[in-house]
Parts: sequence; structure tokens; C-alpha cells
Amino acid sequence: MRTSAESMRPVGWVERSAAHRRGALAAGVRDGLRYVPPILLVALISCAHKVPPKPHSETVDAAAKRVLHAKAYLFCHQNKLPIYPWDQGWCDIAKRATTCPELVAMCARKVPCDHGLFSSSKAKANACVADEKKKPKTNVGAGNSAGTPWYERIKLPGLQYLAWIALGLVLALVAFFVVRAILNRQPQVALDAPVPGAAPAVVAVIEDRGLGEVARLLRRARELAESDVGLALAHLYAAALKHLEEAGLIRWDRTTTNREYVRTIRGKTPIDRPVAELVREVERTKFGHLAPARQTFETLYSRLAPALARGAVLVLLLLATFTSGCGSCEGNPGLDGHAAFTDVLRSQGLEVGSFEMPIDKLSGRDVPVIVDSGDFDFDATVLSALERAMLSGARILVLLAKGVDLPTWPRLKVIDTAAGPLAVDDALAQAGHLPAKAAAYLPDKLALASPKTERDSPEVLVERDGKPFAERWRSQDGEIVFVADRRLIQNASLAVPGNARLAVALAEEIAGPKKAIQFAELGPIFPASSPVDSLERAGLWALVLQALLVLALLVVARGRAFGALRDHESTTRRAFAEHVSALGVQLARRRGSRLAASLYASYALDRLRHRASREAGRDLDALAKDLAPRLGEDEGDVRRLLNDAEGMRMEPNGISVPERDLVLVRRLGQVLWRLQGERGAGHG
Amino acid sequence: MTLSPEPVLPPAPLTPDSFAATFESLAGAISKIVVGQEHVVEEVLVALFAKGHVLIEGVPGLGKTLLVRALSRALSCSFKRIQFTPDLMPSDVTGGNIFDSRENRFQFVQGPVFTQLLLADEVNRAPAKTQAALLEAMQERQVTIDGVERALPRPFITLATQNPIESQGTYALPEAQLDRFLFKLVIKYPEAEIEKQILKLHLAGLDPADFARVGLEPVLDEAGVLAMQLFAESVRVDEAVLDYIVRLVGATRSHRSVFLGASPRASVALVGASRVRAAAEGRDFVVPDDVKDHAASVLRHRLSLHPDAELEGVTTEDVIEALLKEVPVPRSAA
Repeated sequence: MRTSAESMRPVGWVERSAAHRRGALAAGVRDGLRYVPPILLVALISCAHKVPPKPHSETVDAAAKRVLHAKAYLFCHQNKLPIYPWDQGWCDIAKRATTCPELVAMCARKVPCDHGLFSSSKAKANACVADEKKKPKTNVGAGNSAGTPWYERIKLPGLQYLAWIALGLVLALVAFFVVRAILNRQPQVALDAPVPGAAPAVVAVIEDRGLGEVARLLRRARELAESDVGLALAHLYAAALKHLEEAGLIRWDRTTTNREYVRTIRGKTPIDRPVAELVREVERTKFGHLAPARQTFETLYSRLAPALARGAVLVLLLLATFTSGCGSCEGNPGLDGHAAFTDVLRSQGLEVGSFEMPIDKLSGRDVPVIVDSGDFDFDATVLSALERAMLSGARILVLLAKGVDLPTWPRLKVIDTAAGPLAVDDALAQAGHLPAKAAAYLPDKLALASPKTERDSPEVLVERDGKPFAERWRSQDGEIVFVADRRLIQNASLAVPGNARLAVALAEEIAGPKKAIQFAELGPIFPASSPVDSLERAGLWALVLQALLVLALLVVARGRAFGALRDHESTTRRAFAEHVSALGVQLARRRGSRLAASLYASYALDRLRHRASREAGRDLDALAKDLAPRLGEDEGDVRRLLNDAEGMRMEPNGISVPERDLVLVRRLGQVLWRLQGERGAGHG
Repeated sequence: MTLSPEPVLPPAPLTPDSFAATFESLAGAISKIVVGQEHVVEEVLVALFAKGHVLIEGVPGLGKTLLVRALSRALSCSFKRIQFTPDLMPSDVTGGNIFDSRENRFQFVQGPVFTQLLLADEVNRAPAKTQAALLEAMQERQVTIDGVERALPRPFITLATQNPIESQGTYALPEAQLDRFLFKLVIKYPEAEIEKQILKLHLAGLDPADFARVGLEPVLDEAGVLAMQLFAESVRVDEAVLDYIVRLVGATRSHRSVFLGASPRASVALVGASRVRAAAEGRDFVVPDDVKDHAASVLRHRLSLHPDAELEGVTTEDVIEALLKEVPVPRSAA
């Protein structure tokens, strides 16, 4: 028998003995250390792609070569990819792209005509091959569609996400059913069977990795089983409760009994029966003062522990879901992406980030920005925003594209010009280690054209064939550099030696001494036409789908309990009529009809005097004489009624006779009602 | 009442399991007659084995009298009924000394209280003086008449019924008498499906005077009842559970809505009822659930609420429910 103080102490998950508490600090530190590796692992996974590489002293050309050497840039390495119509422009410089020799082979392949990408027969004829027999026989790959993964042949890009989601769900469901089947398998031993030789392997795995509170409690239960089976059972029960709470099946509360938990989970989890047996044993120990058998603990442990450990696995699964699939999120590694340019900039010591506000929020306080016109509807609104930003001190690099015509400020137009080398401004050449004649080659031979005025005096940084290719507009503090060809900073462009140097030089020119630059991600704010449009603009589809996947996993893991509505305490107010009714009940219970009648008589007499003539005054006889003709009743009856009412008013504490009291109240009420009607009629 | 010569189940030797089996068969037998009131039947049996008395509240026609009759049949115990009326006198309950002119002396004539199962029907229709006549019988299990103490037969249980207090012609029971009831049970109107079963039972020929016709046979005799009462007293109550009971009952005295809290007699009643509940579930120790299960039945008639709380619509059930959600339960600690 325990002492009173010890046994009466309210407990949380589990009460701990003095022996257990002695090592609590050391055990806590040890347990804490066990959590470090998985936490670090998860943190590293989620943060790895965000860590910028350390700047080093390699040249721009070397950096571009190193960056494009990465497998992510498939156009540099994949020998089975075809060239798509919108990328065929790159083929004009493929022979100069010495960093990516596969680009030549890629340009030799065409997309099959049944791809669904061609809107006209003419385009089809030029850009695709009709069937396998017509495919050019190259030494780099057998076929087009045969070498393309199935998911890339799906026509709608959004379906790829759905396909992955569906695949993930199927796999998760399969895993769930397998685990559940294992858990539902009845143990081969009965409660009183011999002790199993060893705990299940999954328990050992979880214990070794130290994952979560449940695993810690399980491990502690296992340790205590050697010395104190009762305490070990309590720990096992605590682990079960923790697991059930994490699964959303129970809500732990200090006023909830063990058996209430058992009733709550009945039929909702495969471990409801083992938990019920565990509760029985725990209560036998605690309240029945019966020593539990070691074999009982072992049996219950073997039935419960695998299921409890599953919870920890689920946590890992969720973490993995959150952190997976995002390893290369910083830019598009395709032909027209910016990923390589970003990496090259970083290799030169520039800090590269994203300007994730709408472009009209850009100001001189922000880090210099690169604006790719291909990412925006490049109209007057955007230009106006850029001009305002420049006037406020912002530094901006704007990359224009073929066909751009800006009738308002800065009244630029991108035009085709004759082929020729790019002549670089001396200062820029010196800063960017560029020759005066830059060896840069882009698919289109573009240049800028603008009617110059006194007011508009941009500084030409790079020119081609006597026409500006890149020019700088300055305000007092800010500046904008317009570049004629946005392809300059695209991945494929960097495969040509010289292009990278020019692009980096322009970026460094804008970045200034702080050596920081960011890509503009959002255009000006315009209301989305629909929720789908909103998600599309925000680029949240992947996140939403991933969240749906997580929800699906939670539903699978927690079953019906997930998302179930819980009762909440209603705070309804009582109606006035209910208050009156309750008051009446109170008076009736306490034999208070006399008091009620007295109060009503006071009220009624007051109202009657108010409605009688002034001559009547406070004299009851005069009042009766005044009221009788109006009521059409005998004066004696009215006088008797008034006397009864006066008597009731004067003695509220007299003997209650409910029937008599009620009759008086009703009679007075009728008189008042009739007088009220007379008054109403009088008023017409 | 005709007693069964041979009860079905022998009283001894008792174990938690045999106690539970007997309890279950007894409850099952009575529930054949009292349809849809399983909880009330179990509570009445708990009170019986805890040596307590039961106050049953409900409007007429819900089977209160039928329940007591069925209980007496299943227990093979003597049964008497007193219909309480405004003009009922205390001697009508206890009996009294009547002068025998032939013997030329006073002779004691037993009142209906001298029985094992006493049904005090509509107890709140009699004035307080007559209600008080039951006080000694219920607490001491004896009556004192003209200075002579007369013991009542064992087992003795009073099952009093009352109409809701708002009914006309009723007198509220005094607190002293209310406190002597172990439980106050509230019977409500049955659901449609249950009512349909009741109709079928009557179509099958249910006759309160002939329960054998519907298959209700004696399950236990008075010796068996006494043995089970004795066994219930041996059920262990851990100090943590005692502490829980004390805290729960004590909390009724400090609740803002309560004018008069539960007395220590309520704590004793809660312990007794919890013991029987534990034994009825095949345990020889009490767990906090046993206490929780009976808290409402034990406490609801022992609490007096502040008038303003009553006006706000607060009921004793609300208070008890709130207390059960406030007072921590002792948990599993080995």
C-alpha cells in the first residue's frame, strides 16, 4: 500500500517512481541527443537546396561550364530528347555551344507529329516527323517517343502532377493496408503464454532511432520491465495514450478515466482490444494492488508496440512528404530557364534572391532587380512601375524580347539587325573582363531602336552594328539597363563561351558594390479572374497538391477520426418567457403564490387608479363607483374585488392558497384588459 | 406475495465473477419486464446490494411500480406498497399498538414498513410528518413505537416514487429524508421503439400479479442478497479513489451555483455504490469509473441550488457534469 500523499498525487501521462526520477535529468539529456540526428536530417533535406554555394575564384566561363555539367541540364547531356518547336531557335548557335555538345544532336531530332503540339499543318511539316520510319537516323538515339518517359508524353502539364499524386496515393494505400494487415494479425500467444523471445524488429528500429515521445515511452517501458513490471505497464499505457492522441482518436484530459478512453476508441482502431486489456492490467495494479506478471507485460507489449511505432513512421512520412520533390526548385533547368545563370552569378560572389512582391512595390530600398520581359505582360503599367522605381532609386536590369515595342517611355523597340559582333562599352569591358568586341552569340540578331531627344539620353553599354543592344537610363539615384535579347541570360545561352561573361558583366553592373541581385517574380497586381487563376499566378499549384497529398495521408492514417467535427458547448441565452416561467416555478415550489398575487394586486390597483377619473382619488369606494359603470358590473362586486386586492397587497406574507390567489390574479387581469380595450376604443 | 421455495442461484461461495454473473442475470431477468430501463434497473440493484434506498422520480405510467414488483419477484423477497396520500398518518406506515379488549392489553400491529421491499408510492403527496415516519426505518432499519425498537427484516430497501415537484398537490421532501436515499433516479418517457416493445409485452399477456406468465422466475433469495451485500463490502477501495470521492463531493460545497452541497453521507454512499459497481463488473477493486458512473445518481438530490442559478436554468445535473469535468481522476500509476 502506498502512502497517501504518494498515491493521491495527480499525474499526467504517467506517475514516476522516485527511482525513475533520479535518473530523469540524465535520461532527458540522452533522449534529447537521440532526437538530434533525425532533426538534422530533416533540416538538411529541407534546406539543402537553399544553401548558396560558396563563391570561389573560378572564371565566368569555367563556372558556366561547371554549372552546365550538372545532370539537371538535360539539354547538355540527354541524348534522347527531341527539340521542341519553340526551342528550335537555339539550334542556330548549337555549333558554337561547345559547353553542351549534345545540343547539336538534340537539334537533329524532331518531335513526333502526333505529339499534339502543332497547330498547323505547315508547322507540322517543318518541325516534326510523321512516324518512326521517317525519323532521321542519328547516332545519338533510337527514337523520339520511345525514349521519352510516359509521363512526359502526357499532353497537359497539370496532369503530370495528378499522375504523381495518384501514384503516391496508391503507394500510400498499399503501405497502409499492408501495415494494418500486419497489425490485425492476432498474436500466436495468449495472455498467459510464455514470454516471447524478442520484441518485433520495427520496435527495435524505432527505439534505435529515438523517434518521438511514443518511442521513448516504449523504450522506457522495455527498460522498466526488468525491475518494475507495474511501472512498465504504466509506461506502455502512456505510450498508447500518446499514440491515440496523436492519431486524433482521443483528447487527453485529466478528468477522463481510462475506461472512457477505451470506450472512445472502441471500433475505431485495430488496437482497441489490446488497449482495453492493458487498461485492465494497469488498473489491477494501481487500484487492486495486484502485482502484474512479466509475461502479461510481454504479451501486451508485443501486441501494442508495433502499432504504436507506426505513429512515429507516419511522422517521418509526413516530414518526407513536406520536404521531398523540391530539390531543384530554384529556377528552370531547361533551355530557356535561368537556373544556370543564377548559379554562375553565385559563383562570382553575387547574392541572388527573389523579389516576390508585385513589381509596382519595387523601390530604391530594394536590392537591384532583374526583370525578364518574358515573365510579364510587358505593357505601359509595368513600364510605369519601373520608371517610378527608378526615380525612387531602384536599379533594374530589364531583358526585352523580339517584337517588344514600347510606345511610351522609354519608347524603345526591339528590332532585327544585321549580324555582327557586340561592341562593349569600355568601362563595362574592363569591369567584366570582356573584350571590346564581345564574342557573344544569340539566336536572334536583335538591337534596340529609339528616337533620341534632349531629354532622353541613355548610355549605350553594348551595341551591335551601330545600334544599341544594351543601354542604361539613369535618374538621380536609380538606373535601368534595357537589354535587347532576353535569351542572353537563359541556360542555353550560357553554353556559348562569351555569352556568360557578357550576362554576368551586365548583372554585376546593376548589382553594384553590394553584390546582390534578385529576380522579379510577380507582375503588377491585377485581380485574378478565378481562384484557379489566382493559384496559377501565385504558383501555388504544387503546394496545394502537396497539401492535398498530406491530407490524404492523414485521412488514411487516422481514419474517420480525422477532421471529425467535435461537439462544442452551446451558449444559448434564455428567452424572457423562459425566465418568467422559471420564476413562476420557483414561486410555486416555495409556495409563493401569495407573494405573486400580492405583487400583481399592487400593480393592478396602481393601473386602475391611473385609469380612473381624478375624483376617484385613492378611495376604494370612489374607485369602485367609477369603474362599475365602465365595466358594466355591479358596484358591490367591483368593491369586493378591490378590497380583496388591497388586502392581498397589504399582506404579501399571508398563507398561500394557490387556487384562491390565482382566481384573484385572473379577475384583476380581466378588469385591466377590459379597461384597456375601452381606452383603445375611445382613442378610435 | 408468494415466495419461491428454491432460488435459482445459491449465494455462496462468492467471487467477483460469480457476483457479476448473478448481478447480470438478475438485471436481465427484470429487464424482461421493465423494458428500456436497463440503466434504472441496474441502479436499483446497485442500491440493493449497497444497502441503500432509491428515490425514483417520474410522471405516472412509466413503470415505477412495475419495476419494484418485478424486483420482488426476481429476489423472492417480501414486498409491500404504501400509497402516500395527503391524509396518510405515520402510524399507517409504521404500525402501532392497538388495544385488544379480549386480552385486555395493547398488541403491536405491524405496519407495511415491515417488509423487505417497500414501495412508497408517490411519497411526496404525503405531508412532511408522515414522510418523516420513514426516516428511522430507512437509516436504522428499525422503527421505534412507544419506546420499543422493532427491527425490520433484512434485506430492507425502500423504493420511493415521486412525481415531479411541479405537479399539483405535492410536498417537497425534506433535505434530511432526501439525504437518506442512496440514489435518486429519473425516469423519462421511453422512445418510440421501446414503447412498441412495451406494447408487445402487454399483448403477450403481461400481468403484474403473474410474472411467471411472461417468464420472470426468481433468481436470488434473501440469503443470496445478504451474501452479495457482504461481498460488496469486501471490495477494495484504493486511497487514490477515496481521495477522488472526497474531492468530488467537496467540490459540490464550493460550486458557485450550489447553495447546499453534499454531505459526508454522500461520500459514504458513493463509496458503497462504487463497490457494488466494481463487483458487478467482476472486479474486487474500485476504479474511478465506478465513482463517475454513480456520481449523478448519488448527488443530484443532495444539492440545493441558488435561486438565481435555478432561474438561469442551471440544474443539478449541469453542476455534477461540470464537477466531473473539473475534478481530476486518479490515473494509472504503478
